[in-house]
Amino acid sequence: MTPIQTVRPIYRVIRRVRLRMVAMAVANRVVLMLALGLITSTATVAGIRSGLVSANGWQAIPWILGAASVFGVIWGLSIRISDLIAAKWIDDANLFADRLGNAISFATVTAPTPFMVAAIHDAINRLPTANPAVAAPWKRPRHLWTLALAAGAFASLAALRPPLEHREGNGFFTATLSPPPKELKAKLLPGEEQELTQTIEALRAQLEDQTNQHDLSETQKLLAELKELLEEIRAGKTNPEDAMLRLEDLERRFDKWTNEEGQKLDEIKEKLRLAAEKMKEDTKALEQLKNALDQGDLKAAAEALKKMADPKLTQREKERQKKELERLANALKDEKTRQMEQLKSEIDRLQKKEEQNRLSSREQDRLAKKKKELAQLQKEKEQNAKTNAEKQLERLTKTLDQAASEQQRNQGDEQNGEEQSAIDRAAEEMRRLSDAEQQKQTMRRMQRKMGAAKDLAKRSSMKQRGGTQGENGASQNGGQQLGQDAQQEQDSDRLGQTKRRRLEEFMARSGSKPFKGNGGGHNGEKKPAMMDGIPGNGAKTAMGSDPGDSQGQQAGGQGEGSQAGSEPDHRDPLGETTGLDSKRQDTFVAGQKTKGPSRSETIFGAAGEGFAGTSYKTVYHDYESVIEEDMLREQIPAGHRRYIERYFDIIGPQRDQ
Amino acid sequence: MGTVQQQVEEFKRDYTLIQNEVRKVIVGQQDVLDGVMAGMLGGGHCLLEGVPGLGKTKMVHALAESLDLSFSRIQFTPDLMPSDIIGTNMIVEDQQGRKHFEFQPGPVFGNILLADEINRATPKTQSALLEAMQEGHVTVAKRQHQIDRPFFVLATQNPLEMEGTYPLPEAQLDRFLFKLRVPFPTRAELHAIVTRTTHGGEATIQPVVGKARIFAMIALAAECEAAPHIVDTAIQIIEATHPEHQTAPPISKKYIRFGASPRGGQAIIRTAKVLALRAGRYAIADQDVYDVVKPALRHRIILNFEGEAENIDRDLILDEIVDVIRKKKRI
Repeated sequence: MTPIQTVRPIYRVIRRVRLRMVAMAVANRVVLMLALGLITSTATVAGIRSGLVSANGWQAIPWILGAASVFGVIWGLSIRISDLIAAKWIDDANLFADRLGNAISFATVTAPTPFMVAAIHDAINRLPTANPAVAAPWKRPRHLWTLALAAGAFASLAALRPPLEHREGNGFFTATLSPPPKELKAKLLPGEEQELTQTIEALRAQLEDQTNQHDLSETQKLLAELKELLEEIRAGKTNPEDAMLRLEDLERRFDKWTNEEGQKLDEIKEKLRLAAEKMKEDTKALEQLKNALDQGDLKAAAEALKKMADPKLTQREKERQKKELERLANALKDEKTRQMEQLKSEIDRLQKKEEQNRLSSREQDRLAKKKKELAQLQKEKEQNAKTNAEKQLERLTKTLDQAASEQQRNQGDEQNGEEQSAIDRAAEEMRRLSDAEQQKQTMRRMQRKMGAAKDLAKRSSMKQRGGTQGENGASQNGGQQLGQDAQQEQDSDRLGQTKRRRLEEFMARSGSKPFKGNGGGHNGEKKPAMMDGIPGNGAKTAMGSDPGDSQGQQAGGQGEGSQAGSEPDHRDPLGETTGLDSKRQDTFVAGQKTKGPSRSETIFGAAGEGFAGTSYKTVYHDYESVIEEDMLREQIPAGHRRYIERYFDIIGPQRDQ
Repeated sequence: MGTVQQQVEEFKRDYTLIQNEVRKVIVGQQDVLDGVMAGMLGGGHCLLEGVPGLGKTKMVHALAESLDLSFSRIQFTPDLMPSDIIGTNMIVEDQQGRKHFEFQPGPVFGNILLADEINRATPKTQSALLEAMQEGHVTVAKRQHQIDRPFFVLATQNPLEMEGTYPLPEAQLDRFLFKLRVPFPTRAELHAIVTRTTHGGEATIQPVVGKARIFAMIALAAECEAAPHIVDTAIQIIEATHPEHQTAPPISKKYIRFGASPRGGQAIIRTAKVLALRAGRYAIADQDVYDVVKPALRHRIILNFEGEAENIDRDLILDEIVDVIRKKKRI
């Protein structure tokens, strides 16, 4: 019998042990993978709960767990356990002192020595006492506790609150995991409903005010939707999540509209500024108009236009004004309008000729062509949707044109009531543009309010999910504050004058220069928050409320500076708004108790912090020769020489130095 | 000569006989005795390190007596000359009255040589002994003189005294198969020592194994098998003592300057074979290797400055290396 045949019983035992080892490896890995899968699933459920993941995420969970199990099985089966390793396990467990491992190793030798043969027989003789169960005992998978914890976490999170959206037809998982929706009204707590309603009501009121003032068709739509949402919340027909989603949509549309309007307004201001550059300052009113347009102060420009309608003006002054108004109107016209005007005058000229029967056939063709072009241009102009600001500019240009032409018509006429009316209308249009400028800023603040309302709805939604009511008071207060702020926005213009007066009084008391502005409203604290223009820490200034009112007496948060009122004056005497990044948080750094550095670390540390400019290797070799010379010269006891040499040997440079 | 099984059984029996005989006069020190016998039957020399009075000389003396081998002892001193150890040519007169030089062998010509306090002699004298240990002969006046086999040197050194000592350089330490540390006896052992040595009338040791049998035991130990995967364990350990080697554990990288030489691997396998035969096995096991790592390698690794400064025990490093290798082999 060859050695290989002899050791077959050993291989049988090894196979049995290996099977157990693989089974254990599979179990271990499956448990580990399942634990990881459950952790991922728990994260997914948490994502669904927080709204970061859609409710469809439920469908992914069975797939995650299934894939984890399959991967665990494949991973476990993929491990390779060699015969020697398995034999080692048997030898160690049965105290065989590597007999089986040696035997299977010697069995492969072609010419075994007597010792090898004896070793193989020795192993065979021991084999009956080998117990595979001892060699590879069945143990509880190592990560079973992790799996149990992960399963517990998953189950509690899944059972905490059912999925928010019950979508029918999403498969049996959704059907089984998602209970039917509950009564929406029941989800809203009284405080939260009041809070949300208050915030949206404030928004609605503000939007309505803006819409009434400025004929804003887009804001009318937004207003209608906001009203509808408010009514639904009051009637309990919607829940905070739906409210949040709808507010998000409104906010997006509002943003788009506001940005477009704001951009156009900036373009118009630039256009007015460029147009003003071409004007001559022949009269005082013209000079004022030019300066105002140059500075982008549309309100002042409107005032200057009003002054042009002064009946005390001389005929010469009126003539100059007429020219400049024409110039201004022409400069404001866009290319298409100019083209259309040219076409109209050409058509008028040709039509007059036609009436006189003096139109040649060529001119008739030309007239038809011009009419066609004009129609085309008008069609294009109608098709191009214009923003509110553009419409206002168009009206302004038109009224300026009319004012110029009427002034020409009424030259020498003392009864210039019509001319005054056109100028007044032009001034009114300019004032509207100025209002639009203010409105742009108001709209931006409304944008923030809308975002705050959305956040409030989101918080309400999350709070209800978690079932916690601890934040109720805080968020309610925040909501009330939002509502009050929104209300204050409405009153800001009215109250600006009062605040300015108070501020001027304060500045006068403090010895600073009086504030030049038209209504940056800052409510008062009980004591001044600023001295000599330096903003005080911890004092909050709210927007446009009366000094000493209930909001104004609230203690402010740290670092919250003042905000500008409705006036676009940047020279705010209370200083720039403090950025949020100014907030500081103290961090406590805990030390760690250790034994301290070892001797060698101390020695190396000192060396490492030195300022040596020469490498240790170089220095060492220089000194090594000196040491040898000294040892020869000095009378060192023979027994000590060895230690001296050894000392210098061990402090010698390492190979890597 | 019988079968391998019989030879191994005889080896076990004789080994036990020798040990039992030595145990008549030596209390405790089982590991040291096993180490000395493993070194001796592995065909090498041993260095015993321990404070005075622990019975080092007594153990060696008892071993020599039980083996029925000639025993010499040299007390090393700074003024000891090489000729005092290896012998010298002397003028002698023959029967006819003619005078001629005749080699007078020194104490090195014995089967078991106890080099007591070897670090007290000068390096020159140490070198003379070490040449004899390595080559198995001495050269005097251009003539080689073979030392009788078996030849075992059991050197002792005192770790406490520094004054007037010449510690063996690492290169010469490498020639010792084993470096054994003689520990202080336990309370029970101390009790037995005191009682036994103060009773009056010391036990006499009888020779139980002859020279021929010793030769046979050494030869059998050399024949014992070492499977490739077990030899690989020894090699992995040697590699792990080299800080620059990729398998070296962090402790090696931190404290070792130079690792063990290939002689260390040879020492491990040779002595592990003795342990296997002593246990009645025909091939060595991993555990045999682990058991001999410390005596075989502790004098073959050189610590770096950090290791010396921290006064790191070499055994600590070797223990950690063995742990690392043991875990690696189980996976």
